[in-house]
Amino acid sequence: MKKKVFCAMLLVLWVLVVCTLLSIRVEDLMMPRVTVSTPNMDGSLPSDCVFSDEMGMHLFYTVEGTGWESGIRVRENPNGVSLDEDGTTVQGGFGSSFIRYASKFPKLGEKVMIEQTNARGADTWLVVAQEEPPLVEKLPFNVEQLAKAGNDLLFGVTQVSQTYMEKEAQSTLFGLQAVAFNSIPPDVRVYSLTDINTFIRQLPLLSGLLVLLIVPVILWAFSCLLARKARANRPFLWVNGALAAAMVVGMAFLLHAIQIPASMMPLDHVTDFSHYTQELEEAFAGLRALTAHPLAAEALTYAGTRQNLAVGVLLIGFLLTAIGLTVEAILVKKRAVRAETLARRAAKLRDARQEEFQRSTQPVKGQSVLMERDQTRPESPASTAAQPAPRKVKADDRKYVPRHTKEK
Amino acid sequence: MKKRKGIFAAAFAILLVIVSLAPFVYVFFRSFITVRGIEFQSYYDVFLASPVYLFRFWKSMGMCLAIAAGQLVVSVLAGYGFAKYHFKGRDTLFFLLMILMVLPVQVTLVPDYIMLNTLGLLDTYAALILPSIFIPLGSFILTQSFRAIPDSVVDAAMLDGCGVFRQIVLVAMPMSKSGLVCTLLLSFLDGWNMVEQPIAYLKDFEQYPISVALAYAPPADSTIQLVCCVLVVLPALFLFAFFNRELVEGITLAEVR
Repeated sequence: MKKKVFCAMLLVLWVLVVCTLLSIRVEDLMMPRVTVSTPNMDGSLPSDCVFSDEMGMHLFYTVEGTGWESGIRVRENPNGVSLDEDGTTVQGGFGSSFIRYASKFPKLGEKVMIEQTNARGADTWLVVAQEEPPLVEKLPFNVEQLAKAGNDLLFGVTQVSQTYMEKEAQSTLFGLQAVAFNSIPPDVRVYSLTDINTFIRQLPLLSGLLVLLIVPVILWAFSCLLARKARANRPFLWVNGALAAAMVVGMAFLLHAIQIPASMMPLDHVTDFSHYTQELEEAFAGLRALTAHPLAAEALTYAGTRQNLAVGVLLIGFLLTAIGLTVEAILVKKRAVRAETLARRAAKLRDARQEEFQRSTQPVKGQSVLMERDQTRPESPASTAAQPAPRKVKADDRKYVPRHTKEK
Repeated sequence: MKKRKGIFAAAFAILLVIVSLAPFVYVFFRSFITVRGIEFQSYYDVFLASPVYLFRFWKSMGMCLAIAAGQLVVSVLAGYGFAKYHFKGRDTLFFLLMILMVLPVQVTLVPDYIMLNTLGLLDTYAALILPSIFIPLGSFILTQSFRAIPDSVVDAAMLDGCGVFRQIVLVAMPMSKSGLVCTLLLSFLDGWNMVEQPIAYLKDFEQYPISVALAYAPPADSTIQLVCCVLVVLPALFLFAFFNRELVEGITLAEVR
């Protein structure tokens, strides 16, 4: 019973430690990156501060939370949204920081990270659309169309914020009003090629993480089997424990190295794998159409290489585990056989000694016996009571022979 | 007649088990059965979405381990002194210790607060750990446990050249394993269930252990609260399942002698 409880306790402890490590990274990765705007003197804000969904238009601002909700949190403007006629400004309020762009649609009470807009650099935007995207008549000076294939477009941009936010790209390409009035068709998507490449670069690391998550569970299950003969298999249990601990440490480092761009993260759950698949499928469909351009072709080749590498890491990880466990199982069996042989030899030796002793104590014919116990007299109860009770033989003792009993 | 009595006793025992387990069963099932059906969103929120809950869990765990370790050291020394040394006023002191043991926490809260304030320890974890280390229950249990060791064993150890600490570590402690485990477990659980002391001695919410912080969860997140309850139950559950024999032995030992 104790062994089973101990096994369960170890698994729960491992789950708690791993969840702690994962949650630190997941919170950081899932946290929406936002840029904020403060209202002008008349309380007006640029109209791309408006966020639209099926529930209508929203204006969000940030507050400093307390208690369980510490950190910068999202709140909705209680006064609603009042856009001006031409749709370029919206009436906000005074004194608050309103969210302008976000890496994903903000949720009420959600913790966000405010991005400093000072850091700017170059990027490549990929527009994927089923129908003609509603581009502005004159593109800004920092945007240059690189390639076009059907409705899919590739833009080279300079001086944009380093954290890609789709709404910012939509606002630049389709205009403020289109964003504010939510007139952009939902199938028109704008992706950052830098973010896609960054995500693809993480694939082998994610495979490694998966290996480090699954292998300790396999080791735990194997160790639980070995724990049935804990005394005999102690070295293997220690090795498995040390390996699992090393994997937890490795996971901490690996998690630190994983950098998934905020724009690629799902809205709700980090484990929403369908989101990643859908996003990548859409983006790669666009890139495949634009293979004539070197940037698109390069991205596709890079994706293929990294994907193969990821599969390789996964296979090597599980293969090594399988080999390790097989070797361990063979060693366990060998050890058990050796212990059994030793035990048998020890028993044989014991029997031989006993026989020899009996033979030496048997009276020889003609030899006078000095004293012999009277067999007819019954044994006194005190002498029988003093006999120690036979030791209960444990399951482990049957096969395990300590080293010092080994025959030389 | 005997059979009827047996049935009645069994029915009463079953009822008692149901009444005792009902809150936990309710908490466990409500943590994933919601009005929308079975969903594990709250488990995701507590275990993966944010480290705040688990951080608080580990903080509480660290605090309780410090309390349990500290109390074990103090209780072993005090218990050995009470059990194996004869000095003037020993019985009076032991009687006072027992009186302290039955005093409710609320009585010592204000004096402790004044002392901690004087020492400048308010708003620190030391304010929770230090007073808990000197709770007399451990000393009482270990006194009873050490009294069970025959004096001749201690004398033999002394003749073999053991000093006081070696007598404690090499002779008394290995012979009172159940008492030690019982003290360790009860002091850990005492720290784990601490509520009044953190509220009185700590101002900052960030420092609250999980037992107190649970009460401050927003009402909208009642399912999260329930998941946190499941999380809080885990250490106590495992410790009891693992050490139940020692715990029962330790308590029985303290009662019998």
